[in-house]
Amino acid sequence: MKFIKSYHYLIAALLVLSTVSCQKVINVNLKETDKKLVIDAVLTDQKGGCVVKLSQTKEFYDDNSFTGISGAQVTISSNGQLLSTLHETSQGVYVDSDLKGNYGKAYELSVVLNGKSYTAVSTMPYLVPFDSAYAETQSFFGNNYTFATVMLQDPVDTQNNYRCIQYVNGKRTKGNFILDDDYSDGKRFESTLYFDQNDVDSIKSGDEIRIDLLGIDRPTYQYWFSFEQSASGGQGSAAPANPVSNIKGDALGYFSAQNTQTKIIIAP
Amino acid sequence: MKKYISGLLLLVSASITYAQKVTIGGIIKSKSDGETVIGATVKADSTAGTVSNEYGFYSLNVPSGTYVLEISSVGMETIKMPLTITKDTTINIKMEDGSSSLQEVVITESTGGRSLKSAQTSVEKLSMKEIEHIPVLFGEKDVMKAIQLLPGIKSAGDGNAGMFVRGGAADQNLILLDEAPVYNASHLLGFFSTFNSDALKDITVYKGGMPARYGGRLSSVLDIKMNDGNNQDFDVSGGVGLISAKLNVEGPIQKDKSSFLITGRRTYADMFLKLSNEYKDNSLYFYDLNAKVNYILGDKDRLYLSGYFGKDKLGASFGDGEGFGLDWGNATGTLRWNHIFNNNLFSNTSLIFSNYNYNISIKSGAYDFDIKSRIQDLNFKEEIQWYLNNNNTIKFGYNLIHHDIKPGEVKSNDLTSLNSTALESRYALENVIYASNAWKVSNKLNVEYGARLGTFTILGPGDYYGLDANGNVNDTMHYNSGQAIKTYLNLEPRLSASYMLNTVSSLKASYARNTQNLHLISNSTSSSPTDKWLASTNLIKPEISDQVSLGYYRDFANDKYELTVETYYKTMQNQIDYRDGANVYLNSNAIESQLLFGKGRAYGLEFLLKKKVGRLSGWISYTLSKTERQIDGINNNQWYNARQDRTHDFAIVASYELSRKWTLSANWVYYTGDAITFPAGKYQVDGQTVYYYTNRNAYRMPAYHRLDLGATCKLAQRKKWSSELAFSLYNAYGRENAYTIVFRDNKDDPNKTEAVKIALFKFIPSISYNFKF
Repeated sequence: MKFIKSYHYLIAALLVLSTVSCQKVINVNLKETDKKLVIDAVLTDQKGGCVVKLSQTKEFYDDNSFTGISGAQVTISSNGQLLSTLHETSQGVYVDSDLKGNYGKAYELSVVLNGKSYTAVSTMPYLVPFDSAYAETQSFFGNNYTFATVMLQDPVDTQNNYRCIQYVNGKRTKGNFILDDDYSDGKRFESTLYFDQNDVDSIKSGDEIRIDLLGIDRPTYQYWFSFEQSASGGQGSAAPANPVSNIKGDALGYFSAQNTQTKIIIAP
Repeated sequence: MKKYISGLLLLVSASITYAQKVTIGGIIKSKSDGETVIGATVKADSTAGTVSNEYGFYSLNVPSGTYVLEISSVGMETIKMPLTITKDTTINIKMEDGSSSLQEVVITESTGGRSLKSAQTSVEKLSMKEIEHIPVLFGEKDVMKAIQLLPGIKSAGDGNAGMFVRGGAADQNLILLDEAPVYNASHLLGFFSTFNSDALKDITVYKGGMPARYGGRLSSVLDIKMNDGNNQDFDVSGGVGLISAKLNVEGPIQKDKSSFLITGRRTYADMFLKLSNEYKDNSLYFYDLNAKVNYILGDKDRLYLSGYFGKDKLGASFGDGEGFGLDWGNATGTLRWNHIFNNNLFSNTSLIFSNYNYNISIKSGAYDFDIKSRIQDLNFKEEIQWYLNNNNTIKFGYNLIHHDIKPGEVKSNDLTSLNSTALESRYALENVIYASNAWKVSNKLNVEYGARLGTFTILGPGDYYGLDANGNVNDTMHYNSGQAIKTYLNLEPRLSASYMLNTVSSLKASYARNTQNLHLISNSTSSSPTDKWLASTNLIKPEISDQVSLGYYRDFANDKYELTVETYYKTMQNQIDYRDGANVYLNSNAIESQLLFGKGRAYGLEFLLKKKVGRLSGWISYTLSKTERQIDGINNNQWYNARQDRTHDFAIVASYELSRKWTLSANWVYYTGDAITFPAGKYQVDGQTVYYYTNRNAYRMPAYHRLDLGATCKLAQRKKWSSELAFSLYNAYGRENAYTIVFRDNKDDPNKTEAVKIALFKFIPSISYNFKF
C-alpha cells in the first residue's frame, strides 16, 4: 500500500499551499555517540554484482563520503557450504567479481571483524520479467511533471517484492520505489515512480531514463520500507528508528540476494 | 459480578439517613429563550441548598414551613421567592437574563465547573460567553482550542487536532456531543474542531476524578452540550468570516412546548481555488450541521432529538478525469427522554448513534480504487438521579454499547491492477453499570463515591491470532458470528472529597480508575483522518489508568479572583506503541504483530488564576509536568519521555472591555518543545544517507510561543437587530514555531546533511462579521 503514502504527500502539499509555510536551515545540537559498524551487502544474479561495503556511522555534521573499514573477513555461503571469500579491492569494499546467485536459493553472509562476527541470510527471488517501461506527463495543480511507469505481470500465489532504482541522464533519482503484491497478487503492475519534485530536477523531454528493477526478498523489502518510514529523515514519522535489519550482530545495514533487470527509455 | 453489585449498593446505602421532610422540585429555564439552566443554585432561607442538573432539574428537601426560595445562576438575575410549603410541591422557575455588562453580573458559585464546595476535582467548565473574545486562527471560535489554554490540557501544536490531558495520548479523551462520542473531532487535519460554537451551550472537561457516569477513556472527558433551541421567539444569527460562513436558526415549534435549532457552517476557501486556473479542479472544504428538536410532553416528560453531521472533502485533480479524493466525517444522533417520577426521582433514557468514516478514492494511471473505513456505535443509556435528601444525591445507571468497526476495505474498480480486499470487521459489546452518591457529610466535608463495573466482550465472526515473542503469527483462531471471543471485566472505583478550610478556600482530593477498550493507531506525528480505531482483542488488553489528585482552591477579593492549584500522579497500563518499522497497512488483520505494549506514568502541578468579572477578565495558567513511557522493545526497554512530555506550559488569556463598543483581547502561550527523536549520526547504504537513531525522544523541539490579538466592535445593538465586527491577528509577532524538523542532504552540496525547520502560520489576520435578529 505504498501509494497511500504517496497520496499523503498530496494532502500535505494541499495544506502547505493553503497556508504560509516557511523553511529554514537550523543548527541542531546533537550529542556524539559510539560508532557502529555498517554493512551494505548485495549479491545479484549477475557477475560483478557481489559487493559488500563496510563502514561506520558518522556524526551528523560530518560529510557523507564513504570511509571504508579494512581488515574484515567476508564470506558468502549457501546451505553451510562456503562459496566465496571476498577480496578487499579498495578500502572497505569487498568483492567477488565472478560470484552470482541462483534464483530461489538462500545465501549466508558472514563478516568477521576484530574478533566479532556478523551474519545475515537472504533468499534470491525468482525472476519476474520486467515487461516494459514508459514515461508520460501528469498534471498536478496546473503544473506538468513527467514520471516513468514500470509494467510487469506479477505471478499468482507467491509473495513478490520489488524495488526500482531510477537514473535520469545518469543521475540517480532520490527515493526508494518499493512495490509489493499484498493487494495485487497476480495482477498486471503498472506502477508509476512518483518522486519528490523539490529535490531533483524534473524529467524533461528527451531525457534518458534508466530503470533498474530489483526482485527482493521480504526482509529486504522490510528494510527499505522501514527506511522510508522512519530513517530517511523526513517528517511525519511518529517514531524515527533504525531500519529493520536482517543482520545478526551489533551492526546496521542489510544483506540482499536480489535479481536485477534494466530498461532504458527516452522521455517524450 | 454479583458480589460487586451488592457491594456497590451497600456502599451507596451506607450513608443514607431518612428524614420526614417535604420536597420541592422542578425545572429551571431562561425566560428569554426557554433554554434550561444548568448548575443554578437553589436555596431555601440560605440554609438548605442544591443545584440544577444538566437538564435544569432541581430537587430540595425542606421541613414544612415558610421560606424564601433563592435561585441564582451566572449571568442571570437572582430570584427571591417567599413560599409556604406543607407538602411535596413542583415549582418550575423562569429566570431573566442579567444585564449584559460583565461588571454587574451577580457572582454565584457555579457548580458544573470549579466550585469550592463540590467534591469534584480536576474539572474545567467554559461557557460560550467566556470563549467569545479569545482570538483564534481565521476567526473561527473554537471550544476545543479554548480549553487547550487551561492547565493540564495541551495542544498538540499547529496543524494538529490532538490534545493531551495530564500526559494522556490524543486518543484517551472521551469527547461527547449531547452524550454521543465523537471519534474524530477535527476538520481540515486539525486546524479547526468539529464543534461550531454557535450551536453549543457549554463544555465541561474532566481531567481527573471523573464521576462514575463517565467511562471509556483514560485521560479526560469532554462533555459538550448543544443548545436546545429557543422555545419563545425565532432567532436568526450568523456570521461571515474570511474562510467560512455560518447560520443559526432557532425558534418555537409550539411556544413553551417545543423548539428547534439548526446551525450550519461551511468553509469556502475552495471558492478561491475555483477562481484560479491552476487549482480550479481541486477541492478543500468542510461543512457541519447541528440540529436539535425538543418537546415538552407535560410536566413530567421531555423528549430531545439532536444530531450532528460533518464532512471534510479534499480533492485533487490530475486532469483527464484522474484524481485523488479524501473525505471523512462524523455523524451522531441522540434521542433522549427525561422523565420526572416525582420531585426526588429524575430519569434520563438515551439512545445514541455515532459514526465516523473516511473514504479515499484514487484514479491515476493504472489505478482506480476506493478505500473505505468506519467505526459505528449503537448505545443505550439509562440514568436515574435520586435526590434522597439534601445530603445525598444518588446517581446510577446502565449503559449498553455495540461497536462495529470496519478497519478498511479496498474496492478496485477495474480489477486489472488491484484485488478487492476487505480487512475483517470487528464487533464488540460493552455492558456497564455504575452508581455514585454525592454525600454532604457536614457543612465542611463533601464526598462523592461510586464505581463503574463494565464488561467488554469481543464478538465474532472473525479470525484472531496468537503471536510468538518476535511478533510473528503462530496461531489463528476462527470464530463464528455472535460467538463471544473474550470478555474483559473491569471495576473502576471513583472517589473524591472536598473540605472547606474556611469560607473562601478548600482542599480536595480524588482517585479515579479508568479503562479504555478502543485504541487509535496512528503512524505519524500529526493526526490524520486515516488513523485507525481498534477494539481490544485477545492480545490488545484494555488500557487502564489510575490517577490521584490533590487540590487547593481559593477565592480572593469577594470572589473576583479564583486560584486553583492541583497536583496529580497517574499510572497507565497496557499502553500501545509501534514496533520499529511497523507497517499497519500490511498484514492488518493481525495488526497486533506490529504493536508493542507497555506502561506509562505522568505527574504534574497545575496553577490557574482566573478573574471572572470586571472590565478586565481572563486567566493565567501554568503547568509543570512529566510524562514517560516504558515499553519493552523501545529505547532498550528503558523509560523514555512521551512525545507530549512538556516541562512547562504557560498561557495568559485576557479580554478588556474598552467601551460599550469595543472589546480588546489577547492570549499568549509558551510551552517547552515536544520530546522528539533526532539522529545520533548517519551512514551510507546503497548510495543513500540513512540516519542513525539511538535513544527515543531524547531531544526537544524548540520552545513554542505565540501571541494572538483580537478586537470586537459592536455595531448595532438593538433588540431586533444586533451586529458586530471581530478582528483577530494570529501569531502577532510572527514567531516561526517549528511544525516539524527534517534532516536531509544539502541540495547544492549532497556531501553534507542539514537540519531544516518547517514552520506554518506567521501573522494570520482575519475579520468576521456576526449578526443576530
